[in-house]
Amino acid sequence: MLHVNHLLEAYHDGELSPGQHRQVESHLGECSTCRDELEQVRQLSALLREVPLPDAFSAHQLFGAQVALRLSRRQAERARYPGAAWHVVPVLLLCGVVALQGLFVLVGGIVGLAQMAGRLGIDVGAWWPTWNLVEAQLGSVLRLSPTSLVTVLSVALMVVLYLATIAVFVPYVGWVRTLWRSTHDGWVRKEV
Amino acid sequence: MHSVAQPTDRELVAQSLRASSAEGASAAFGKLVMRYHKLVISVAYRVCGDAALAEDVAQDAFVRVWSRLSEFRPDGNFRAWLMRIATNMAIDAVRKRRPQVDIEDLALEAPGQGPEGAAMSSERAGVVRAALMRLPVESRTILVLREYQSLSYREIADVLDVPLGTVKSRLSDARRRLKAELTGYLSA
Repeated sequence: MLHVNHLLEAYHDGELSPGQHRQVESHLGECSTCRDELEQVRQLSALLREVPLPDAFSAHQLFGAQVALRLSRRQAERARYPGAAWHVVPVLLLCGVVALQGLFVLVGGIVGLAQMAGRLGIDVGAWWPTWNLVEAQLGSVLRLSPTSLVTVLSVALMVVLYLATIAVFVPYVGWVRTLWRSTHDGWVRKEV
Repeated sequence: MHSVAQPTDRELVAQSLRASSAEGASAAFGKLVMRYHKLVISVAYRVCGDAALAEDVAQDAFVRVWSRLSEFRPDGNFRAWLMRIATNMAIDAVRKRRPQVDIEDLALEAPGQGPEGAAMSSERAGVVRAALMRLPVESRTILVLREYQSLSYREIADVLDVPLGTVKSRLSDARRRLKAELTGYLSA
């Protein structure tokens, strides 16, 4: 005899198809083992329903008032924060850092490659006439090689940019965190 | 006798969103709170096992529902949506709660009665409640939605956003554990 243990819970919960339901009913008529097992599921269900809810919950008027109070607090918290437009400031700053960093890397790479080519005996000026101009101007006026100049400027500007970014991002992250908690973690218990 | 037709959930949601004044919106939403607060508290309590925490979760569930009311689809099932938010918040509350409620204390607790009035039935209820609280919160939530709220497997899957197979396996696992723990109370 094939038992139907795997279908008994779904049978109890009314989740079987009509065909399966008939199959289980028919089997239960002739199998005391499965009947006993079904009885256990039913008894467990009855036992669980015996567990009462505490009677210590607030009356419905008080509950409604407490919800209203939390709603007004939430609205007040939101009103304290500026709109989404303020997200633009740190995002733009970050974009500026990334763009300038990219530019320096690009320029530094080009100059470095050009100098390396010069050391290898390749006449870069013949391929790229502007290089002669850049090398002559930067070398004579500032008395710095292009590589040194780019390095100095890169480091100085990046330090300034990084400091500015940190100065903006630290309060920004704190603000976003507070905003997030006020809108997503409002369920964390607050003292009334 | 005239019977005044109660507004449907969708009508109350629409009124909350379209009300021209804050008072009007609050009044419409307040009706939804009154309609469902027992349901939400009940689910939260069964999942959390702590009356104060459950009430806290229930109140904040309504606050969250209010703040996301504009996301509710006009053809949606408000009750299911509310249950989804409330159960997820209750599960989160259980996971984040520190320190954990002492399970052994739960077994002794007889809600609404003093120790001297604890009859055999409430003692048994305490043992059952403690066994329930020892279940993993995911399985317990599914069992609660099935046994106390009589949701179908499909409805539970929708509320918790889990596959149907997960509902079946966790429900079966929860019942298997409880049967093992409560064998003394099951006669068959």
